[in-house]
Amino acid sequence: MPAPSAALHRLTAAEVSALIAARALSPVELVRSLLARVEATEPGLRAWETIDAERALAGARAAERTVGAPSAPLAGVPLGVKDVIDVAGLPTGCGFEPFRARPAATDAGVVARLRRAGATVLGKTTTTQFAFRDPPSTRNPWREDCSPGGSSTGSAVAVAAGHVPLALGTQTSGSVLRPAAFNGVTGFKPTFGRVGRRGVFPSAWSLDHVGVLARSVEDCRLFLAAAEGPDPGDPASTAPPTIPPGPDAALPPRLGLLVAALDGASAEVREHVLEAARRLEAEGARVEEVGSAPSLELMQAVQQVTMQCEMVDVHRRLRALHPDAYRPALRAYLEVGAELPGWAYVRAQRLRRRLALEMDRALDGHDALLLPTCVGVAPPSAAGTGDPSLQAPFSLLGLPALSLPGQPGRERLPLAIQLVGRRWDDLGLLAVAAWCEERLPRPGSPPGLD
Amino acid sequence: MDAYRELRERLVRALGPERAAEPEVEAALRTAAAHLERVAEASLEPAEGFDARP
Repeated sequence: MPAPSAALHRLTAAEVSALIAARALSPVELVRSLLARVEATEPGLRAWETIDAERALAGARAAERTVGAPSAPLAGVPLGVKDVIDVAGLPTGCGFEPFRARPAATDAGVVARLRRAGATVLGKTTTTQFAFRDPPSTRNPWREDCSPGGSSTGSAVAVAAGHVPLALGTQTSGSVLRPAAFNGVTGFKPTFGRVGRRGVFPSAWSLDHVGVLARSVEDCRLFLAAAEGPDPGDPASTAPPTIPPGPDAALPPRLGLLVAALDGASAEVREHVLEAARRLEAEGARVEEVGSAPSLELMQAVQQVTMQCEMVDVHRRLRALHPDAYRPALRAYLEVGAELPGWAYVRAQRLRRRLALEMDRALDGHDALLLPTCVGVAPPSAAGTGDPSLQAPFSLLGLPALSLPGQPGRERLPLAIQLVGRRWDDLGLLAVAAWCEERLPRPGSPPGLD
Repeated sequence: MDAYRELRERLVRALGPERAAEPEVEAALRTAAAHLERVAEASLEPAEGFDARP
């Protein structure tokens, strides 16, 4: 365990929690230190929509009083919240001007759960408008001319820059895992329905997931333990069913290398994934090529038709009220989506069921699938927030997925691998990811942000 | 099926030809048409006998 004198901004949530429980770190001291770091580095990064310093310090003081309470596994852990998720008293801006002055009355279900576990909200992190693809002005801390990804842009940058150990994101296509990969942090999206979405502004109801940006797999596990469970405010949320036991965390995992996902990836990304596979195999993992998986292109098409139709419905009234407040790509996407024929949505849902069965079969005999998180490293900022084609299939199918960061490549930008687990076997996926994390090189800190 | 042409005709009716021809609308149209075409052409029957009918 690091001494409290170690850089506080590099502690994981698990380390923070352990230090605070041992009374080796004051939650107030931690929040003050992180606020100072935000003040020093935020102008160059723009990861935050709102910093709630006063209430964060009040929360830290309260955490100090409850140290050691058994129900507070995240006691004193500072948290960033993507600005599509409600935090009582703060606006949920969604990157949309008409929402900027409208404070939420209550916490979203997931925020309330994390607070009950002891977390302290530091503020709201930037998002692309309505979690779509028009980028905010947030910068990638590894290279400011490159995209930090989206849509959970500020959450990924805030974790990478040492502002918070943990930040909430949402994923409808690839909005947790892709920014995680582009910023060199860990991103985790649980099984659809495992974490409730009450108080989360919807993008597309059947695709939206709440996930987390973190510094370790263990922190993703802490998040899940605190956040999961049925929420009466979200009809899609449910208690996890009983499933056969997942992989033994101590044993080397059985990984299925999704070779089709390598075809469209850059040479550097392909080599990174294959090198990771070689290292893990050398450590005892069984790595087998998965040849017969459902078509990635079809999964992306089905995901996109589903998302576009559902987003049109979400925005039907708002678009009529505030047509000019929409960013250009989103406005055009909704205009085109409004003209998609109804049969396309129905057919997409029928195909979705077929693809889910085929993907379940591809996962048979494997503890997790291994593939790149993204087809390339972070693109130039002007090129948008990146390609969702390797994350969207698992949002469509609702499978748990995690992006594990690797060291920067030739372009000084982080590389990443993606692990995908069986439906509801989130804990199995996290066990596999922890095993891999221990054996693969980590990315370190962005330049100048040690 | 020419998904692009069908979708464009609908868009022109809804938005007018000028807006339908703007670059961001045209880009969104092309992407949506490609997805639509793929969804229209895909078989509902899964490989190797899985019953995926609703």
